[in-house]
Amino acid sequence: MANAPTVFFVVLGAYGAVIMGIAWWSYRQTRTEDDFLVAGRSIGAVVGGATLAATQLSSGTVVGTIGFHYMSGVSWAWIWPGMWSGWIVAAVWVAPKLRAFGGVTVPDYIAARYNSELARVVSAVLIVVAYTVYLSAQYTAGGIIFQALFRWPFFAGVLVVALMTLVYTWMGGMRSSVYTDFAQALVMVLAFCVAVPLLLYRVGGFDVMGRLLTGLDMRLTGWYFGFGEITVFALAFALSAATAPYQIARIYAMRDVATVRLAIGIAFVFQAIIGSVALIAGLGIRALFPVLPTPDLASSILALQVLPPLAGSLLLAGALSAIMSTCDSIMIISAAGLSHDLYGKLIRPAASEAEKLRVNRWSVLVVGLIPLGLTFVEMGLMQEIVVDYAKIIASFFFVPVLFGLNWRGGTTAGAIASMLGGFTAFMTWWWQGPAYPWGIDPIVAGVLSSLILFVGVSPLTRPVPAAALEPFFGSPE
Amino acid sequence: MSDGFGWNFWGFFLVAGAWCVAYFVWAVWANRRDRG
Repeated sequence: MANAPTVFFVVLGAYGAVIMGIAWWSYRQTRTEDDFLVAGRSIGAVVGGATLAATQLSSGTVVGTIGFHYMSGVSWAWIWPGMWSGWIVAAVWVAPKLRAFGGVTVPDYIAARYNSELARVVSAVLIVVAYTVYLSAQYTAGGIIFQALFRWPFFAGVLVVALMTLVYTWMGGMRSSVYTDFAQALVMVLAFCVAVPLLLYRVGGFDVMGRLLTGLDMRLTGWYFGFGEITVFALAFALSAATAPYQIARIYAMRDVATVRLAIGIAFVFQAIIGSVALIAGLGIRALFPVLPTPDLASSILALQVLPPLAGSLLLAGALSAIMSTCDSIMIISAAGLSHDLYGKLIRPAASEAEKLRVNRWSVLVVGLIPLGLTFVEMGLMQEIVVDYAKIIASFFFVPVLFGLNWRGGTTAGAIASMLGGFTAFMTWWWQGPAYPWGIDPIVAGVLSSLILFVGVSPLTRPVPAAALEPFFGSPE
Repeated sequence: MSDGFGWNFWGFFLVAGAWCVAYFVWAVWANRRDRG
């Protein structure tokens, strides 16, 4: 693939032009904070479904999941139904109530439901901290891709991803983020759907691939990960998908509850397609290239050495799309924590719309630039990083969001104890890994501590006034 | 041939497809219920 860089830069240029076109259009439509953070609540089911899927599918999918299938074979695919069960929880018990509430950020919900600005601050700070570190993992994935492809210095690739995403998010906020996500989801599906048939043809079909893999290692076509391991991984994804703040922000941006339900179905279709082709891609590369220095290189090898230049370039644009669509979502959710929840609600509640919009844009720059420094920290396999962050967020948000929406008895003190306790328990367990105390995974320790504190502290502390509960439970009879 | 892909491979595609169909049936039902 001698001319790959030229073709890739042409594809990347065209892709960049489309993204910047969307950003410019969004910029011209963004006049208020509501426009910037929830796209004026105008998003329909198809674009909404694509953005939910594109946000879910990050570098963890394109670099990490293909790499994990390369390393471990078929069994990893079974985390998807586990993760989708988290989406079912969201569709039935979380999303309709949150969309009907109509806040702007997750801390908006926390502050309203628990009638407490302190609870807002705790949740906003935890979001900003956890997501800022998560953003650095996404930048790192960008660095890995450019390094593998063009032998660019690692940090140059990081900068390309960070700066492109920063520009379009700064310009158009949520509207820009959602419509670029839509374009990016289409690029991902198109890229994989072109790449996988070509890869299968190169390997010789499913039958040959299956026998080659079994010959390499029986576990590749069997159960490399056992039922228990798959369940823990799936649980981590499911718990975080059910109440992920960056997805809730997208749910707020949709037209109404009916749109949200259909959008989640469309997100399932996108994820089912991409999950299936990522599985085949990882297995096909293992059959063709049984020994790679690291499984995270599998997707780059597919693009560089298996596919013709145009298809390979499209796949790399798909990989960049996956990373950038997650980055923009994280930037908005972290920036909203700073600007809407901390500045707008606590420091200057009387700020004008123009000032709020300006602060939102500055916050995007701050939360987008800080993680650049963290990309110098050595990290493990991409999939493991993503699983860890999915777990952290679930450890402090799952209980106060899900139980808070469905149990009147949860109190302010219960919610604050639950968030801080879940986060602390997770970190305590995680630092002691990989041999966790009593063999308990950090996600179990985090969510269980959060749950025990929530149901233990709530009955002992002052109840939330009925007026604050009304938007979520209606009037008491 | 018993040394190729097994049910854990083919079954995944089946589950993914069935999941999407079942979800849409529920979502359409829930939206109609809400409309009364």
